[in-house]
Amino acid sequence: MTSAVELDGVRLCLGRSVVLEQLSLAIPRGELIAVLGPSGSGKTSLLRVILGLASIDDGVVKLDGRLASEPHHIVIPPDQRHVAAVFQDLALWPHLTVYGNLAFGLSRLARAERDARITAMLERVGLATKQRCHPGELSGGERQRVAIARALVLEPRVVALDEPLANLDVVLKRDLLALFGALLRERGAAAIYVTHDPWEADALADRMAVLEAGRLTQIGTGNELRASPASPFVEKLLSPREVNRG
Amino acid sequence: MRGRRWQEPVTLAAAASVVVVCAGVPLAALAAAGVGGRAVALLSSPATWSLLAWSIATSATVTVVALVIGVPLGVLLGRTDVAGRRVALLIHAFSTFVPPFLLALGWFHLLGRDGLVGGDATSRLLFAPTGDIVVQGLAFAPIVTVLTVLGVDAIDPSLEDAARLIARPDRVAIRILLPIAWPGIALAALVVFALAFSELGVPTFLRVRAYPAAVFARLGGVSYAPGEAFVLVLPQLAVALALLWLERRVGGRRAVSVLGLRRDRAPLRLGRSRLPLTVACWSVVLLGALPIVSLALRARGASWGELGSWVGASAGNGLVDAAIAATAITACGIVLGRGLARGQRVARAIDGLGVLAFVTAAGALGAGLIAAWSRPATQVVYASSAIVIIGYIARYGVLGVRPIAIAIARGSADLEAAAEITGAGYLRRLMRIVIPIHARAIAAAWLLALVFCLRDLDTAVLYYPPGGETLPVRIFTLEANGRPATVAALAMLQVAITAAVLALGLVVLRRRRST
Repeated sequence: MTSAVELDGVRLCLGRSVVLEQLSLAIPRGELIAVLGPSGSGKTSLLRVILGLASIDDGVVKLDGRLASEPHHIVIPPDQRHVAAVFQDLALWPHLTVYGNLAFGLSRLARAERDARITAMLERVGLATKQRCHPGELSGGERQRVAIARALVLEPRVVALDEPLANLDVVLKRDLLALFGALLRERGAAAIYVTHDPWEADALADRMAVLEAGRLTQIGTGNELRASPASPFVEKLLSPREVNRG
Repeated sequence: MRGRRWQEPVTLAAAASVVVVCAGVPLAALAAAGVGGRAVALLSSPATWSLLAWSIATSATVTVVALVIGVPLGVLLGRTDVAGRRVALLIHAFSTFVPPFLLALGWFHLLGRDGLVGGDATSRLLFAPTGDIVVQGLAFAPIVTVLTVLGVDAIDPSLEDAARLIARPDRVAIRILLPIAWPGIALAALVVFALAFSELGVPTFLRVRAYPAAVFARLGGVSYAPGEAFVLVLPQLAVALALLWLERRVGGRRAVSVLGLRRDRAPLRLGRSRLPLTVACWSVVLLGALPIVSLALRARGASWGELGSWVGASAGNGLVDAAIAATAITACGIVLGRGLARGQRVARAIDGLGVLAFVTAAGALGAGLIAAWSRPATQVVYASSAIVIIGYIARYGVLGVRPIAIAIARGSADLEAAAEITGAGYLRRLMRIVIPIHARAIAAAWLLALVFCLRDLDTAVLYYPPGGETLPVRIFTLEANGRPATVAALAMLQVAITAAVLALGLVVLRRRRST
């Protein structure tokens, strides 16, 4: 079966430093994979490569079997990849309302269809009454919901989430994680969820991939990784003490 | 620590006093001198209001031309992969630092009756309101371009990335980048309007009627009547107050927070549009540089011996006055800029005064300086270069405050707080933390103030002391009677001095960044 996302031997350099090295990863449609790693391990860079925002130095990136990036050449530009993203700082456009933020990517649809899709999505995330609000008028949790709604309303093939729940309190994080999980599974898109929190990864993902210094050191289910950790970092990361901290 | 509490208010008061003496006193003197019986008679003349309306309309049209050129160019050169965009931006921005009337002179040597490619038709077009508007529009467009570049460059990259995933680069620019950067663009529009409304050299040279020329004629020209000049500048003062109100409303603190420069971002890829847009950008950039090229070509016929006698001390006068003024502007800018970034009311009020002086027509400010300082008791100041320096500080003081405020506002206040809790007083924090951290921004503010003082004509021409004229003033006064090749050579000398100062400044700034 063709993978929704496939990276083969990807190498990414920023200046003189190697950010990703010989990275190969395949994510089937409908799977939710969490990418874990310490700060500076290349997690966000991996997402930028998949989104088409960073040009690779070696290897290939394929989306649904189509070549998307090759060395020094972005074959499919970001706006034609059908990949949506939730950024770490959410990146909600401050001058647009909640409706405007969701509608921006749906400009090719007829107005009635666009409105119906936005209304349904906002109802699903519990923000039906906030359509006319600007991001600055929303609470932290509401902004997170708008960000996920903005990504999913596009009905993307792949959703990339870059630590979207960082800096939230535990209760809110738990609620939003449940909502994110439900929304991603009912949409059936492949999802890649970057986090440094093993508890979030365990609660949400089908599989986990661990990045260390730009290299993929291990990939598998939480139980597989716990049973035979490939490195001291993986062992420490998934120790019961770390996972239960969430 | 308690014993050093006086440091901050005293330093702030000292910096504020400099701006108040240089900018506030002339504006107050002007208001006082203009009120009287003659004011009613002059201000009730339809001719006065007709000329004022004409100048406002011309300045508004110049602003529109500058926006139409500068905004798209700013986005393209600032955020896309147009070929050679950094070099193009440097060339384009350079003309901002050349006195606009020198550019008009360059266009004359190009399109005038005896110009390089000119004839009767092009000459008629140039010596007309259309020529005035186009020359000024092209001269001031780089201000819009540069502020647009700074505005779009300062936008949080993730806001742009989020849009790039679902929209083409043109839609990202129009729907996301420009609306977020609009306070900076609005500020640019205000600056261009204020400069066009002040502009004396271009309309005078192109024989187009303009309000500043009417004021100038009464202060130093054939219709010498300083009392009338003081009255005539009152409407200019009212326009300046309106501009200040607009600046506070549309820009204000937001204009401080939305400008910046990031160098770590990949440009938006234009794809198939790259080649045509590169050609379009470079065409506009080269069009703006044409008058300087034509001046250079015309200057080839000048005799160098003759040139030396015409320059006299004016080049040195200009450099020394500008350097002293830029240093004072920067020193005040550090104190007031930090205060503005930290939301201090005094700094905000003084910044407002600085903005008012900047947007006040240069002729009005000059008339205020004459009203305030042309007295027997203050002849020591008025008859020396000190008056030119005071005028520069008054007009360009805001150029020191704003860039430094932007840099400090973008940094973390905790850096200073961390020093404060170790017991460092205000002056120690300023000298050991604020200045070293923001040294590049401070150096850039000094350079900006220096080149704006160097290019000044409209303020200094009204009150330069005997033997103390600057190079732009010398060129302006010689233009009507001097040999064209000699005047063009003097203009090229001004261009060369500005280019050398900027090149030296950029080398120093670049070196500071790499260390």
